[in-house]
Amino acid sequence: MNLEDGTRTLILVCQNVDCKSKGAGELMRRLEEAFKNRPEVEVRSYMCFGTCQQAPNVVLYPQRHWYSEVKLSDLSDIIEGIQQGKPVERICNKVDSGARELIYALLDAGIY
Amino acid sequence: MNILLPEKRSNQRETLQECIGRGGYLAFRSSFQSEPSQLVAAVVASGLQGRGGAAFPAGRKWQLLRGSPFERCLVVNGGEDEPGSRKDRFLMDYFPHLVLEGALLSARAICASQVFFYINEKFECSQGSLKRALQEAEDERLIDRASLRIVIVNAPSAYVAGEDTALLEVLEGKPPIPRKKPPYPVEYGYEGRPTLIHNVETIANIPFIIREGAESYRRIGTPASPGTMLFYLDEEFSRPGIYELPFGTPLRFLVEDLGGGLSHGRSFRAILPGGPSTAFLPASALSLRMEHKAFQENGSSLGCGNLRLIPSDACMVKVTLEIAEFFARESCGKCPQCRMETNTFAVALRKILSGAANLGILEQIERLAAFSRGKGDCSLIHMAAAPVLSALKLFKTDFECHLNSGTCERCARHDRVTTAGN
Repeated sequence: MNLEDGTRTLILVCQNVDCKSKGAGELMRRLEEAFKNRPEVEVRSYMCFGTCQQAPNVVLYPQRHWYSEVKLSDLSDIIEGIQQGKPVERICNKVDSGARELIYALLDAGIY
Repeated sequence: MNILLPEKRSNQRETLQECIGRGGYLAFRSSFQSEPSQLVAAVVASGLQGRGGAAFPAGRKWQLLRGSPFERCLVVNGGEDEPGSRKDRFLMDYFPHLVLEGALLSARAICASQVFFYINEKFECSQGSLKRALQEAEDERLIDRASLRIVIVNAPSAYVAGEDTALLEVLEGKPPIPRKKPPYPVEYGYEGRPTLIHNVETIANIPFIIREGAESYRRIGTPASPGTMLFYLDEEFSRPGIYELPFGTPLRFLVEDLGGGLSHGRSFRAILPGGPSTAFLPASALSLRMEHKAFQENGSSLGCGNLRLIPSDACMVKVTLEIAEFFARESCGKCPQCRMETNTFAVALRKILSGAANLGILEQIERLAAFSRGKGDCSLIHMAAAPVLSALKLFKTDFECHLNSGTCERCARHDRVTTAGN
């Protein structure tokens, strides 16, 4: 998947213990369902973002939209935001900026 | 000179009479003529350092614990889940009375009312050997189990279960998950009681210190690291086995004179001196003397003395990936940063191995380790980083080759040999 032109989106859904215990499995299933016919969007599980206190975490890359404490009720806004290229501000970038920058740097280096 | 093992070893478990024949239980018998505080003073003066990997001064722990007014416990940690480590198991299997006497002396010194032998559930031979030793000591009226409760506890066979506070959780019937420190076990341990925890080899040093005196002990080894240490050379060596050597002995003597180097005359490119949680050293480190300070100054550690040589034809990306996968598997999952770090190391190294990332990944691995440093309730997060960072520093070309072409000279040669063999 070529992410460099910014027209494609990788949706990374953390599937580690805390995120999973707070519904990340179902979030992932619904996101996969929503984008199953959209080749420009790929939904992928992520091993851990290290921000488990604000689980579940979903990161859009390369847009760098980091959604935390995501609920099923947030999904329609997230899906709409992806289609319009806009972040869902109320749940976006709430986690520590150091952690975010680290994860974005890892993603930039190809670790996903 | 040896402190723990007899100069001439047989392949048999040492009996009680054989142990007594080389001075066993003399220290314990004579300890009743001393105040417990004198025993503590002797261990403090000896400079004994823990042999589990951290090299913390044993006497310091004893002093901290002695200051507490509460009922105390002693735990002899025989979890030994460090991959490839054998020495604690070896002591329990073959020299159980040495370990038992060390435990009895330690319990007397700290006025403990309860002793736990926390032994890996897979070490049936060690458990049997210690059970037998307990019975033999009781039959000889060396111990009175009515006044000192001694129990053997099954330690789960998981890396983290050997960590001091995870061990306390197991003793209390819970899963092996490390606790946040402080409080430390010497302040608040088993069921809230002050608890002294030492690994088997540390405990086995106590009889010599009490019997021969701290001064005699300090005459062996170096001023900064007194005494001897057990080193385990694995089956890759020409002469594998467990060797007891004074601190300060040149590493070259252990590797070449005793171990005979790698089998079949193979050369090596790296040394993993103390198990997978220690940093790699270059082959030139053979000139180092084996003491904590010298290894720390060179960015590594003696760890638990489980020495491994990495052959010259091995790819360091592959070797490091194996270690990273071990830590990702063994992280208990409690601390977010540890989960993230250990998993990311493994994923990143897999990407590097297959050439599926860019050169920037190397810098990000270092950044990840720096971000994680000091976080987490136990030291696993730091242990996982040491081999990865040292491999990157010493063998960067291996990593760059894989990133540039998906392979390296060594992997390509290995693939050619494998293909030709088929």
